[in-house]
Amino acid sequence: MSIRRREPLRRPLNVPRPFFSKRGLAAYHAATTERRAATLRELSTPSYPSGASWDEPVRAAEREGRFRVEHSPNGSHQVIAATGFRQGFQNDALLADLVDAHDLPVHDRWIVLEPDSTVAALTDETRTLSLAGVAAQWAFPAADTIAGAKYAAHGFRRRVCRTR
Amino acid sequence: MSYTLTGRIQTRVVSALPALLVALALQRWWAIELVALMLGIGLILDAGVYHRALAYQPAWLALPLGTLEFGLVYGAMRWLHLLAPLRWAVGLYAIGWVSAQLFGHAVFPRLRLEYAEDGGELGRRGALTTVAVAAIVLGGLGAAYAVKPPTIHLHGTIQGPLVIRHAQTLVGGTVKGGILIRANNVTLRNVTVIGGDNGIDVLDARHVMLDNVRIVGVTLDGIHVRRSSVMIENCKITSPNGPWVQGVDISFSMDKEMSMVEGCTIVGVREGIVTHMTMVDVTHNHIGATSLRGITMGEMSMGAINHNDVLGAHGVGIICLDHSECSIEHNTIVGTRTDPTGDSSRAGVAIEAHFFANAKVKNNTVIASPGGVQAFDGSTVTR
Repeated sequence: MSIRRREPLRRPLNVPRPFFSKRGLAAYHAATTERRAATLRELSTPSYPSGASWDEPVRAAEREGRFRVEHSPNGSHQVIAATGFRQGFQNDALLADLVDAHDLPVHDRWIVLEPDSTVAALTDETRTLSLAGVAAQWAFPAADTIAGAKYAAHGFRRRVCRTR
Repeated sequence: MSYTLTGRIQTRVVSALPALLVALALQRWWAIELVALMLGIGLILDAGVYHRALAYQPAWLALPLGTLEFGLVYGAMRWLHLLAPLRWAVGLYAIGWVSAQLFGHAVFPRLRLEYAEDGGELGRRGALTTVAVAAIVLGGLGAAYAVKPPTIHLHGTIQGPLVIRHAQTLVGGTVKGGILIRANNVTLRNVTVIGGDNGIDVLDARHVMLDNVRIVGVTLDGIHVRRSSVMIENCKITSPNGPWVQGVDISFSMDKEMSMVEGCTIVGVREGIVTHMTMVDVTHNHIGATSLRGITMGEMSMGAINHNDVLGAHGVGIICLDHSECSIEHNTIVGTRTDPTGDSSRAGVAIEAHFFANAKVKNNTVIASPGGVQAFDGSTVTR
């Protein structure tokens, strides 16, 4: 039984390709904070790709009574497995503490970062703080990918070289 | 890769560097012009089509896009009459395409770690290299244009003979009394010649092009070439003024570049196309009603006689003569008539090797020519 609060979208799993390069990132970085947050909210909506290769196994399981979708536990005694994430820096103790301690700028559930993935308030000629992974989505929407890790690393390298 | 427009342009221009270096090493204007053409078409496609249509360009698209651009470059070459040897032109394009793949997938990402993130942009050094490559190409184009022979358009009828002593392109018009060419890099295009001993005389000249010339009423040769290299395309030689007229005679040019006679129509002369001591290709010509021979490759000439039509020749259709080496393939010889003198070597022979000549004969069509295919006086015909 799959318990869903909302139906997932049908779209490719990837963030649109232009967001992996300057072609899409330039407009993203130039957007207002609200527009940028709206983009991130849209990209983090649950989704799975369209196509028979995804639909057919689910339909077969439904026909055989092995799978069904419900909107609530519907009287079940226990939930065996659950997926989903607590989103936002507030749910990460380290990041939440960092924001509190240094009064970092945030927007909704994201820490506001420079386009090169660094934290402006904690980056200057003598030090560099750069975020990678899902916490760096403000700089790079696909931050939780290998490409995102490389993006943050390249930005960090540029800053560190300049600092030295 | 999701290219920015700047990234596309910088990547394309800098990737053309190897092709440009090869073009400079070749020291031929056509090579520079070809690289400029490749770049120009590529940049137009980048700005006008690819940037809008391809938000993301997967690697496999390199093959179909490369094929598309190759077709466009080839078409533009033909349209602009860019006189590049096809094999070299294809090679230069291949160098450009392969180097673009190597640069895009290996060199640029290695030299500039942010290459993919920056949408193909190459930073300050890349921008400088782009400007340098563009400047060299534009400079080369300018130089090529500056040294290009002038084009002169003839209008109406001009009383000849006309003597050409400098490189130039002569277009159109009618010249009475013949044209004498004594300079290299001369092109005659769409010119009509009436009368004169020789219609067009080419003496000690290289890289001469005769394109779509029409010659009527001459008393010796339609086109008379000595110690020169010429390309003759789509000529028409008719209405000879006397019994001794030859259509095209290219002789004593063995130490010059190879000549070519292609797509000509020659009717009613003594010999249609004749060569002596020359390397020449004679292809896709139409020779009719000659009184001695249709096509003669003689006196130690070497070359190919392919895809020609020889109709109604008197005596001999095609002859490989006097120690010449000839490849004779895919010709059609029809209605070669027997010479009444009784000479067996002129008894309506469609294809003949004579006096220690070697002819390789293959896939020819011989119709109504009683002499068939024969060898005389120590010659050989191999099939």
